[in-house]
Amino acid sequence: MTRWITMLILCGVILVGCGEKAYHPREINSETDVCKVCNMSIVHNEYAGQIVLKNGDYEIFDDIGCLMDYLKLNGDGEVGAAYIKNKATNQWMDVYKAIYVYNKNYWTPMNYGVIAFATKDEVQHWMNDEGEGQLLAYHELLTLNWGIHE
Amino acid sequence: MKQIVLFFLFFLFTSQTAYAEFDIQFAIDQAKAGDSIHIPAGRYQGNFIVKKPIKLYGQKGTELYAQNDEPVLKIEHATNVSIENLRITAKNKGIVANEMVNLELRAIELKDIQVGIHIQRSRHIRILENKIIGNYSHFAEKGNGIAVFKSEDVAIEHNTIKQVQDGIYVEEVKRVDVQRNKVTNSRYGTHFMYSNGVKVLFNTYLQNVTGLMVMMTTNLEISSNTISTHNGFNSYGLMMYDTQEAMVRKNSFLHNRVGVALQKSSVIQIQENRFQMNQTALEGTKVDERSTIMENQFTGNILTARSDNQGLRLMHNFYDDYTGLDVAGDGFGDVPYVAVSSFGQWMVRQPVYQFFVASPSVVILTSLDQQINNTERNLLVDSEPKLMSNMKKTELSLNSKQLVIGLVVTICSLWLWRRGTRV
Amino acid sequence: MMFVKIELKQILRSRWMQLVAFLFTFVFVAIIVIQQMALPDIEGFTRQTASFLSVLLFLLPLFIITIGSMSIAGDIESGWLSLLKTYPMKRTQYITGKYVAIALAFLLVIVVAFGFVLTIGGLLGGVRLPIVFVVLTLLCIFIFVSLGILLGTFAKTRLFALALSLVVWSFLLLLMSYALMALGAVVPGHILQRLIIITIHINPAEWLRFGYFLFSNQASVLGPAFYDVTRFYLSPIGHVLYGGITILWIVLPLMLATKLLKEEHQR
Repeated sequence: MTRWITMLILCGVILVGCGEKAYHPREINSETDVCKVCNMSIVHNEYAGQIVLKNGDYEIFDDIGCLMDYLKLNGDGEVGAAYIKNKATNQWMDVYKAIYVYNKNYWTPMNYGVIAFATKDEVQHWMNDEGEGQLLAYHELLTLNWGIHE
Repeated sequence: MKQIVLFFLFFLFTSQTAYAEFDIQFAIDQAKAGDSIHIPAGRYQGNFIVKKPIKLYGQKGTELYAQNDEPVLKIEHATNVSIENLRITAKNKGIVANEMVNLELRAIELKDIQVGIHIQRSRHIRILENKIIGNYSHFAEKGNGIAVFKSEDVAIEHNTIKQVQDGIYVEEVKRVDVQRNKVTNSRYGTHFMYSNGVKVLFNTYLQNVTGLMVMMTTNLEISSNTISTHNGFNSYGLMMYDTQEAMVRKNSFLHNRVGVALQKSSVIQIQENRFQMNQTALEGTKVDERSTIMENQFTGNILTARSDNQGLRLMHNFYDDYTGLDVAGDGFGDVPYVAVSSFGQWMVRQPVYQFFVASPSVVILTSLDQQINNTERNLLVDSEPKLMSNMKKTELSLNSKQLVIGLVVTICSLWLWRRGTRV
Repeated sequence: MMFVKIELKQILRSRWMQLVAFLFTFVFVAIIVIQQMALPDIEGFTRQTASFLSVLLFLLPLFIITIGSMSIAGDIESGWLSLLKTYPMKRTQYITGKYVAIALAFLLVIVVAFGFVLTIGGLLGGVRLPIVFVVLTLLCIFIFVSLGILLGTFAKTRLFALALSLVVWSFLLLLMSYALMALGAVVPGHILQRLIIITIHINPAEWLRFGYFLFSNQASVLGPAFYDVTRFYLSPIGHVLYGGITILWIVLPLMLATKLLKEEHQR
């Protein structure tokens, strides 16, 4: 019995140890993943976001707006890394480095109208197809008036 | 034999294409405002566009289909259009309506579509008695049954929808009536976002991921619906997120993972509903003081309620696991009913705890909770639980086959036992 | 085998066993009657199946390991085992004989209880007795009888065997879960999730509970955190692994018990 307990503790230590090294985004599982904030299941993968907490837990979001809502509520003290999907390539990228475009008529899962890209070219390409939008950097998202329409 | 089969196939083939020479688009283009166009039975391929006030109606066996990604039927910039009695199959969208005033879609059967009916920027829309069936792929890869965007005054009634993403998706719509529809085997039965003035009455939601998903919507009436068997990993019967002013009345929440979940919502009245055999009947996080849960019936739920530390206000409900008495005779129990359980509250904070649901250790913990009866925190406490004498008649129907089997098994085993002791 | 017969007779004659049979019948019938009257019959995870499962997982192991271990320890204590050693019988035969006898006795108890449930249920218009439940009960008997025998050979006296069984039982059924739940308050979710997965494999009670949800197609009850594990165990390889681990839980304690007996003899 004591062997089991030591084993348990050992495993725990190893797991904790593993969790604290580097942060990696994980794949979305559309069967089980729901947005931490609004509870919607993630079906539009190319808008999804995620936060890797310092303790190794993942929080998944369906829209950059929900991710920002989470940060507003919990602060970023526990956040190890945060990722958002590039709408153009469906690849994960760093939330803090992404380029955002806002137009209230852009459709997103929560209709916040903010879409993320990695490069200026991709943004331009998007705007050519879907209409002009306002370019935003990460720090401008913090003060954006989310969820206001009309 | 082979020849007969061949002949039969030939006959089938010809009969299907028999009337296909009727040119629908030509007829539409020629029609004057107010005309009715009858489409004879037969299969018609193409992408048809309506831009004038006409009525289009088919008969049994009239089928429109498209093999490209364009919608089969597009209705745009017009008033007083009505489409009736058609069958539509499409690789992508069935019917798309844009900037319409007064549109009626009735008795249309849409099969094997990505999106059934898509409506945007329109007013006075009636979608009635349609049947929409999606394909068998995972819900993340499909579109919605009926989707309405940025519109006003919409009635969606008597439709049957299955195997799509969201049965009825409503976004930024003012005044929408969803009545007597049936949505099964989809992601969300009905999904509201940013809408206002919503009525959801007499619908049936069965075996979806979540029955009713209400988000950022104000002014709702949700009454007399049956919401049953939502048991996926993240299922809810009714989920309300960031919702204000809702009346939820006389619904049945049967056998769901969570019957009703309220999140970040205010002024929600939950009255006279039936919560039966849900894993958790009620869940509340960040629910304001003005929301109340009154005169509901809770029977056979594993957990009655769980919440964050803001709690939920329970009043005058009936609970089948309430053990108090009514000595005063006023119809209410004399001691408060305490729905709070440590395990339930933990589960709200850390979802991984769900693993222990109804495990022996938790059962003991919960019964300890009830013994301690900690009312001082005033969370999830009903100070006047309702008592009912005539809950359900116990009809003694006899299952004689089972009775006989049971008797035989019992007697045999007892006899074996007696024999075993002698040897 | 004569030995099994004698053992079986002894167990069936004990007042303990008769009491257990009565208790089980009573509890199961009570659950059926109370819930059948109030609730419609719905398939899936409901309060009825939940209480059935808890009672089964809670009481059955308790009685099995106490009776099992005391039966073996009693043999050692009373010198019956030493007497048996004078016969041409191997330790393995003794252990398997004991195992078969105790398992058979509990099977009989369960058959009586289920028989009553069916009878009473028949009077109330029919009850569902899912096959998964029956299989779970059987596995529960097979695994815990084996554990009980191991505890008995380890304890050697009846009193110690009883105490040890109670400790092990409370550890498996209660303390381990409580420890995990307490731990959950401090460690992050993904670590708790992994610890639970480990627990499933090293705690036979959790293993059986897990098996119930798995094979009754209610894996979603355990929550989205366990999606990957349940999906693995629902695949054909997973099924094989489940069977393999179950057999290990039966065979390993028995082998260990035989070894312990042999060492005892050599000393």
